[in-house]
Amino acid sequence: MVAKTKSKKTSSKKRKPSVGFFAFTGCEGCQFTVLFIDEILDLLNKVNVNYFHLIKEKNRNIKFDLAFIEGAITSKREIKKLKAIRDKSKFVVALGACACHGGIPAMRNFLKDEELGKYVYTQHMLKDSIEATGIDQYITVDYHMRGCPISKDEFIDFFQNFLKGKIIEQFKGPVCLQCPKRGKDCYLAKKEVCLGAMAHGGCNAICIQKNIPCVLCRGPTKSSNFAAEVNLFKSWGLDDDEIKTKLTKFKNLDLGTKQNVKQQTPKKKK
Amino acid sequence: MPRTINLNHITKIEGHARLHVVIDNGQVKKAKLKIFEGSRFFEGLLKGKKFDELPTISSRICGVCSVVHTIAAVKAIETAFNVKVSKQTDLLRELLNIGGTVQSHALHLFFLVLPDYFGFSSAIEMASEHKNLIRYALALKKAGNRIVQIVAGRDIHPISCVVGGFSRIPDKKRLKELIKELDSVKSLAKKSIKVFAELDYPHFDLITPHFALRGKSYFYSDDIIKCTFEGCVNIQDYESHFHEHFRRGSTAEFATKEGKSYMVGALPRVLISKDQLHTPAKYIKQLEKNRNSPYMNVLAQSIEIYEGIIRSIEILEKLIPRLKSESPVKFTPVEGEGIAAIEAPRGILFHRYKFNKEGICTYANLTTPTTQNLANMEDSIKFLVHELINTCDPKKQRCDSEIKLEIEKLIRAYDPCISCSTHFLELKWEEK
Repeated sequence: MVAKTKSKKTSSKKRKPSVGFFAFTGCEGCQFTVLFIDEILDLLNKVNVNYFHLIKEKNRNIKFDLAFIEGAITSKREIKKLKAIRDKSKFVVALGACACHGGIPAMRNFLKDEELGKYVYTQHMLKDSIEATGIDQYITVDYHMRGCPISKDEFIDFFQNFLKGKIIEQFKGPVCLQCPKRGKDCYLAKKEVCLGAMAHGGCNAICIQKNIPCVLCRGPTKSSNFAAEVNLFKSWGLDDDEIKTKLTKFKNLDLGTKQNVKQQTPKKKK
Repeated sequence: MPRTINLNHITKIEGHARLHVVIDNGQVKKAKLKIFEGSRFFEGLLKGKKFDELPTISSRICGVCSVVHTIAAVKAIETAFNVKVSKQTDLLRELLNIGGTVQSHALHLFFLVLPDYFGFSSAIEMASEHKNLIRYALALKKAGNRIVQIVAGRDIHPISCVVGGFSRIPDKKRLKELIKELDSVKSLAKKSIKVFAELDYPHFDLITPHFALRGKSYFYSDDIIKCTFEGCVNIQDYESHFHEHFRRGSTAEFATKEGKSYMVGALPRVLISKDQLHTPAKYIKQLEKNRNSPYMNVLAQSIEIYEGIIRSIEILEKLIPRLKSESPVKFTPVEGEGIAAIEAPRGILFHRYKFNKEGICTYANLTTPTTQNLANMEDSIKFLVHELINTCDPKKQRCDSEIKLEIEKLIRAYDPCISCSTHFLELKWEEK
């Protein structure tokens, strides 16, 4: 990805920036994606990694110039921790789909209450459990690094530019703009569900390159027209449940269907 | 007065766990692992979904085991629908699974385990003093990642591994490059076994049953479950032998076999299928001599990296001359049930699904390696603490921190994957 950069002051001091990696509920795959970068140790050596629980024994809860936060927020305890991280951090990056908009963990919000009750093991946990959401439900996020998982290239690009005091500009427009099948072999033309028209681009349409239609893991753009998409898929004969699963796998959305998604607020449990 | 040791948030493991140990009168009364990772309800998420959503969703159970969760889901669905895949698909999947194992082992061994033995907090601090070791680490990690990227599209959450085969066959040119790349790290992988063979492991001798899948291929067999000192279990019967249960206050489940703990993972695999390996005999002997020490799992993983690279090259040499650009096998969903068992980096992984005639999932039960190892991990911790309290003077302040470090080393040897163990919601449910 070419870095279009806009200048933003982050740190003009000579000391190495203090960086933290934090994880809430999720698969930790975005942290692993970071660790799977070939030159990861060179990158991390340019900063002071003061908190990275996954790979560090001694973690310091101090002030951070840059905090990467992975995972969805699924309990009241997690909200408290999240806010404490925000208070200590100058710049917060939501790392991956779960932190950006709830990701796969947020699918549990669709489980009916009685079903959920069956699956929660103690009353204490039931009380603490809330609907799963992205972190920006509770704190201000300075950069959304999208995708399930994030793209390695975007991470490297972001990180290197951050060290120079620049914040990279994110790809604008939907996945379609980078789609190899654009205009010649479009899934929608073949009545196959592809969500690329709604999804934030910047992934190089990596799934479509492998002949898999877009699954909306980067979340929908603001201009997405859900009602139109839902109607289109219905006209092909897909039922409500199937459509709902396809559209809401990585984010809670109000689809305007009869099973509306509940509001993303902590809910009181009996 | 009873003494307690608490590890409140164990570092350098996948996921969030704490440990509570109670010692009374020189006896270890309690060693309980508590998992406080958020509840994840995975089986609840799978229920009611159409079959083609299952691999995508199960992959997200765990970032470092995503490859094997995808393969297991795909295989279980194929069994349910009687889909027979091509030989090429099987070979590509075996290669993919090896890639997943190598990337996971390399990260675990060099980033999570080695710093403990060299007295560093993390690999980042270790890098400047142990350049050579870190060079090994990065090269082997890269090799595993490259396999997964080339076969399935990216490092984690594979894209092209689907029901019936592969949505896109990897380019021949890239597979040829992969052979070269793997060839170039083969000797390095062999040397790294020596590094792990020479670590100063604590003495540990607690008899434990080991289970692994056994069949024609070391990395991709699903014939039978074999134990080191009992008979074999048929894969179809796994649920009646291995019981999962919830622990109050824990979001994870624990599995036992007939009420007793057991171990799965690299160590059991090497012990059970050593005849299929190419590793110098002295390392295998070292493992066998210390078979009752879970620390040997670390050495076994380093052996598997080397074996994985050798086997990958073999597969690629077989694949490349005959590579066909085939599409996934066509099929229609039928009502039925499918079980898949596969050796994941951390041990045997089971996926079991039932489907109605529309191909909607009506039942899901996933049993992960860490679920199976948790009970054994607790037994081992008890044993270890018992040994340590008799050799360490509790009046000295350093005693507690030494014991804590030793416990953490032991836990890390198992390479627990907490995300995987918290995927679960309830023991079993079925909807008619």
